[in-house]
Amino acid sequence: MSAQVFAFLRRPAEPHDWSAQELAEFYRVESALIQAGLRVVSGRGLTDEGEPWFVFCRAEDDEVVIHFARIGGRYLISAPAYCGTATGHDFRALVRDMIERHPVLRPRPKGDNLFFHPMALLVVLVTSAFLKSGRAAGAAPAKAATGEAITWKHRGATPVGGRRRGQRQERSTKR
Amino acid sequence: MYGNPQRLNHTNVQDLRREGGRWLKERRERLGLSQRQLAERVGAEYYTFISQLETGRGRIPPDRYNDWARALEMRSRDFVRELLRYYDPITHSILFEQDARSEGARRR
Repeated sequence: MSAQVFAFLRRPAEPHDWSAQELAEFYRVESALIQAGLRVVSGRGLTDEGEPWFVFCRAEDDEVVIHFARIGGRYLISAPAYCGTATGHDFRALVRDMIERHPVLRPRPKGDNLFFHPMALLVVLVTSAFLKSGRAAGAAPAKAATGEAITWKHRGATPVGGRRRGQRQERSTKR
Repeated sequence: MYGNPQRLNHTNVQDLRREGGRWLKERRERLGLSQRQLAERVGAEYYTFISQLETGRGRIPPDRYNDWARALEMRSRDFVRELLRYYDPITHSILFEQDARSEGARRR
């Protein structure tokens, strides 16, 4: 009996499109990047097995800078600029992990207890992939190139947990 | 990334990529391959990349052209020639269309 229940629990999820919430997050990221002055476009689709993917591309030449997908219930993030692909069941943890593994994305001073809203982390990840992808820096206005105003202050991207009272969010975005 | 800045506007680039994606899909389907099978043949790390290309987003890296040609059972030069039509129309036109036009004129 218990073996049957276990087998049922382990059954892989049926492929399905991004949820409305997931799509809303992607589009909020796109909007944040555009407001920051980056020329970015997005695209999405389903594979022939019905599994979803989502990409952010440079608008001027349509080159893909970062690819998100969900394959067999696992999330996947791949960006040529990071020379690698990361997969996992927890999307937010995956984004966080990718940023941790690429400290150039967000310098983390020792003892820093500053935390970011997950949406803000996604913006950091995509922006960095975009800027690292090459010509974007030249194509983007100065405010994007300097990391200023990457929209932490709007779109509800406020940090949660551990933020010191009165601390400005932009602190960790500036080099 | 493989940049190839041409003086095409974004709509033109997107239209060409979409057309190229349709061509790739048609070739794959003609061989009865799923996107996952094609991904395995070309050594793509994740098969959603195939779907992405077939939708007209991004492009096949030049260092994979030979793998793709083999996977789609084409001669590399024929594969690249067709792909250039969508990825690099200016070069394609100079190399092939102008040649074909002058050849036609010479024959007349």
